[in-house]
Amino acid sequence: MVKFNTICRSGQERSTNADITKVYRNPNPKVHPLAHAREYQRALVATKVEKIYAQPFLGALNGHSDGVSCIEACRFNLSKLVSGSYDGEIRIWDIPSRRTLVQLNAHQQMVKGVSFSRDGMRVVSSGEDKTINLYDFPQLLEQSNNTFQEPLMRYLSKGTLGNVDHNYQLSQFATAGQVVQVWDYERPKPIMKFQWGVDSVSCVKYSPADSNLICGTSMDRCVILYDVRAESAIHKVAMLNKSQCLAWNPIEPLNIVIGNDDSNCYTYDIRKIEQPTMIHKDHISAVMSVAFSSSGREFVSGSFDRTIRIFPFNKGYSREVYHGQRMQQVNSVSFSADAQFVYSGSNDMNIRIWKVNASQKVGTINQREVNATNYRQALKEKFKYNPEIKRIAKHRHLPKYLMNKKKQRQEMKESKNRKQRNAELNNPGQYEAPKPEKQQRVEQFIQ
Amino acid sequence: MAKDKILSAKLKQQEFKTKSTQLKTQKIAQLLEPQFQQSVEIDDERPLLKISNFKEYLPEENVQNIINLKLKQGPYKLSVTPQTTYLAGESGHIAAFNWRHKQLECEFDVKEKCYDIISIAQRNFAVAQKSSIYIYDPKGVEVHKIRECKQATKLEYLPYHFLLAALNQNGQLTYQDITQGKIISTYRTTPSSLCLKQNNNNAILGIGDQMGVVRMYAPNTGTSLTSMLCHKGGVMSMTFSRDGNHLITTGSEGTIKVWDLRTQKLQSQVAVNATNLALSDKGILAAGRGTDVVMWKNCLIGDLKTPYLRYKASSMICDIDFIKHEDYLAMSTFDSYEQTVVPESGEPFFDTYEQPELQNKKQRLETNVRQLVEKLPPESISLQSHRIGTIDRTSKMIIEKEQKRQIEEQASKKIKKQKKKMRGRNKIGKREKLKELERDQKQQVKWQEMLSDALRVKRAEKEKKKFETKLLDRLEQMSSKEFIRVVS
Repeated sequence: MVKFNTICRSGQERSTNADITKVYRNPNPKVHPLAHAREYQRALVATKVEKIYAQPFLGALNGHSDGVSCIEACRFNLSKLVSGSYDGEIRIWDIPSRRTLVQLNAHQQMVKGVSFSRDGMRVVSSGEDKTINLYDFPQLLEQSNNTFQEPLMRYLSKGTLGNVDHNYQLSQFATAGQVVQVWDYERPKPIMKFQWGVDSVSCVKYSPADSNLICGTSMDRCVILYDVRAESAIHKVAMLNKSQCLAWNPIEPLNIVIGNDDSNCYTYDIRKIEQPTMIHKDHISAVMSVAFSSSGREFVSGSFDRTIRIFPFNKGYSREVYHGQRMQQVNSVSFSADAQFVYSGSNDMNIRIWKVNASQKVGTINQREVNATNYRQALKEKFKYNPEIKRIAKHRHLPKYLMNKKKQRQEMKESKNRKQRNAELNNPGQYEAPKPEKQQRVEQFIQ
Repeated sequence: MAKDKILSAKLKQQEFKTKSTQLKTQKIAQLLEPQFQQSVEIDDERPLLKISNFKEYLPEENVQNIINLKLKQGPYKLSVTPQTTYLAGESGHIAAFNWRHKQLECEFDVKEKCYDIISIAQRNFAVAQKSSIYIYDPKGVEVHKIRECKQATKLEYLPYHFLLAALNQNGQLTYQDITQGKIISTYRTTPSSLCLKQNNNNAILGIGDQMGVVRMYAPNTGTSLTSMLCHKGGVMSMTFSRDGNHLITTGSEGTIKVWDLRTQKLQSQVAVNATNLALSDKGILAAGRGTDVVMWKNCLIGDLKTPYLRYKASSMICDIDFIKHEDYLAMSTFDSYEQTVVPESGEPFFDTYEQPELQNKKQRLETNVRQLVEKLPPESISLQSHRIGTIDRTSKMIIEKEQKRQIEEQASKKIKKQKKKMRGRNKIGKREKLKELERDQKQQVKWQEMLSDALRVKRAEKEKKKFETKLLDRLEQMSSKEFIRVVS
């Protein structure tokens, strides 16, 4: 008995045109010649294609007649955004249609801060004219044609005001300013005041996990942690430069990111605030505003050097930089609730909408396309350390002033390192190694 | 240092992941392998040897594809794909037909000598004719005339690099990029080359010559990458195995040798005289000489003693080739084209994305675009193709040297602009004079070179004339007997 097999392909063709043609995949490497070279080529093409399709700017919301000072995206409704400007105007925007829904002349002077409550029913705004307005959000949207709508409640403050932040759980909000004040809805006067030293506090934020913890950045270059239950501050740390802004990590609420005037962002662990856990360096001018994404893995920072940068929470350098020819100093940034879009309000009276992943398609995507993008992403991940691919993936076009400034900084850094090395080599025994950089940035820790 | 540790740990993890998933997918694929084969049982203990022994037991589809076409015009060269065969007769008869559906695609007469034919991307084909290489449409319309390769006798096509390689009788090897029409490289190989074959696994070309040496070539380097002394006589024909680890050669002294390419040592040999060789996907070797074809089953493992099948064609065989992913052997002879069944020679489980011939129209259109986008650069062709994308483990010193050399090359290529002097007098007239001087100097150098070339040519011609006149004088002076001796 002799037994052998022969190939018969007659059963392969489909019976009707409505049937799909079968696709056969043989993972045996003998059937795939030159597999390594082809895979590398595919990864190279994938990185290049990503650059070709990188169009992060989606649109701008224009209507303000003075620079935009603060914006906040709604936590519960993806299409709403509140912004305050230098001339005291507050606008509520509908993002998909790029229109203003409600226009309010809220304050006599600049709007210092805007904040939504957790359930989205209330909006709080603080102005430089020492008043705090509390609005009912659904009511605002109903009576949208009335620009002189009265707020639900108006609170008057004795001292000047900074930004305002609404409590995550209770009907309370905290304001920064000459003195940190905690307000309740029912009381016309603040229920609590914090003051440490004579300097005013510029930015104040509630912790997302504990409604009794407030963190603030003050004008004497400090970052202070307050406890509402104990009615006092816990500790503070003084840095080399003053910080403008603050954000809590929503997923790891023991970490905060502060944006400093020396163009770096610092991540601190509030339990051990003597030293930053991470320094994020990429801006070349003061960081005006920081905001965390709801995933807690990324944060966006807008700075005085007219760019916004997206940083991974644990890396020292930015993943992405967005800049525009017409975009001036960025005053505030905000992440959308689904972590897909970033909003930036700047001095040129516009609010810009950017994509978080610059080459991602907006809208519904076919399942086949999703599979293809996942495959390409895996390829890029596999070859990301390869120098040719790394160079292409890392490359970002920057305006000339940024490039020059960066090169300058690089030179300064190199010369500093060279001098240190030379000092170390030429003065054995006498030379004291400089402190690690994380320690260098902090001046003092005060209990 | 800590950074390197983390990086190396990550890379190790990645490598482990890819390897383990590869093994898993292969295991699963083996279990889920679709049934493309039909098993045939014969109640006979004798080995198969002749197709007449088992023809009646074969399924009908296979019997239908046993072809014997009578052709007229001269010995034919062959190129087969899983759908079509391309035939080029020596006196100019060119035909392409779909052997599966028994349809003629195109047939025409070129009226000059044809040396070789090969199928190219997207169902086009290239014919090496006496005047130059022509590329034809699937319908037989002439699309390109490649003038740069002169009198090519052998063609090979590298599918993933879109390179057409043409070998001359003088040994001139040219690589041409089909998508751009650019000649990538051209150089001299051996003056007495007999056969040209591609190693499908790493796109290296092997050329065998009359001295019995087989040399490997890539488009980057002008010289051979390696060479092996294979036979005492000339290398008549050669093939590579599918995974690129074995090379099988026939010599004019009458042996077939199986070489292990990783160690470059002889694995096994058999004293059989053969002029043509073909190796199937699964390792069945077919050797043709005269009208006979002998096939061995386990040649790569080393068993060349008992032949698997024998076939007798109707006339002298010119070219043989196995059809990929099928159980057929195609042969072109002096006056016929024949196709016969060789069971268990083809790989039944094909991959749709690798074989555009086995796809339907829409899939083929997609692959056309995708192949062009993923075209490999010719610089990536090397003997060790698996090293691409892996960590470069050469020493730091060598890498630094290479980087230095690159920087120096770039610096030397840069054109140095004359700086505008800001101090002292800086007249425009003077600057322009300097520029003109430079230009004149460059031109002078050029003229000198041209002159010296012209002088050299003239001198060579003069000498030639002198030599010729001398010969003529001598011939006049000689008697007729001496003349015959000198000439013979």
